[in-house]
Amino acid sequence: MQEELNQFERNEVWELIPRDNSHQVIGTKWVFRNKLDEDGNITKNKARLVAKGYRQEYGMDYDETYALVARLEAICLLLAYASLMKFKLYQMDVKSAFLNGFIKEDVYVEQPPDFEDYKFPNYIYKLKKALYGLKQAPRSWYERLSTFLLEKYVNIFCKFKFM
Amino acid sequence: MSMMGELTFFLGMQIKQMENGTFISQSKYCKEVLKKFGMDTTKEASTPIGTSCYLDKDESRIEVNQTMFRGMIGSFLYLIASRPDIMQFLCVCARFQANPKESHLTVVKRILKYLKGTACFGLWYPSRVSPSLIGYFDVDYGGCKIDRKSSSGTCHLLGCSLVSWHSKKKLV
Repeated sequence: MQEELNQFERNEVWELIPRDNSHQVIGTKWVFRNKLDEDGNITKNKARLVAKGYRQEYGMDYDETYALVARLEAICLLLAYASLMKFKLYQMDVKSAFLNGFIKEDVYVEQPPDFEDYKFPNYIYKLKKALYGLKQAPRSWYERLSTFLLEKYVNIFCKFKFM
Repeated sequence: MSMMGELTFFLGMQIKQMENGTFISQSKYCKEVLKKFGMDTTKEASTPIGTSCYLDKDESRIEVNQTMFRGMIGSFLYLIASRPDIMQFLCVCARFQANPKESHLTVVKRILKYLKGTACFGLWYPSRVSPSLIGYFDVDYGGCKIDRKSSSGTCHLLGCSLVSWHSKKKLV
């Protein structure tokens, strides 16, 4: 649990502000999972702080939620092309990926259960980035990733010629 | 961000990158689902469906648990990602999901038996071939015996590797 909160700190996900009755505050909860490896042994106990996204209201807390996902054909094409060109494919993992996406709307959440700030237990958090469980979280993460990739690699793609 | 090394396991697909190509299979997923439906100890079948097999609505026969039938179809639909060979038969069975009967379940179980024997099958993407994109298309005329609708199928090959395939019964 502490590890997960450290991720929040590192990504500057939120800031503590005094409670104000004018805005809707969304609850949070902890979700625990055991991660299994290929043979079914427990390798990791995982804790994830999620927002109760069902409390969000359309137009107030979120707007667009559609996020693109990879189609199977696209994955097959990539694999086929990589093997044709003799590329070696590597896999990467982004830890707490959704905590990287910026959100445009003002969303307020409660402090995580059992991890309240001891000085200001009544304060709430204002989110700067998305949280797991929020309706716009996948979209905001996709947006962040695609802008980054396009900025970084658009020049390389332009130079790249198809065989 | 952390590096996980060479791509070997991705979305339930086992990917093996070798010197002369790439092999994709879902044997782990396949075995897992066979186990889930208690089919991991049955006999193996060499073909997914009998040559004289004919499916219709079968209104008089015994009903089977719809939830289980749907569960079977749904679990194996994901296998199509690396197994185009079972797609046509699975899709035919999927048409009877609304009202599954015993005869339909027998056909699905035949597919499972076939899968048991061929769990390690997958797609092979060879390297060192010319990267030409070839598409194949075929359609029958009124092939479905229930409502006389046609079905079509396509597949696309990049070089020698199959990248996209589909089979569909026409709406009209």
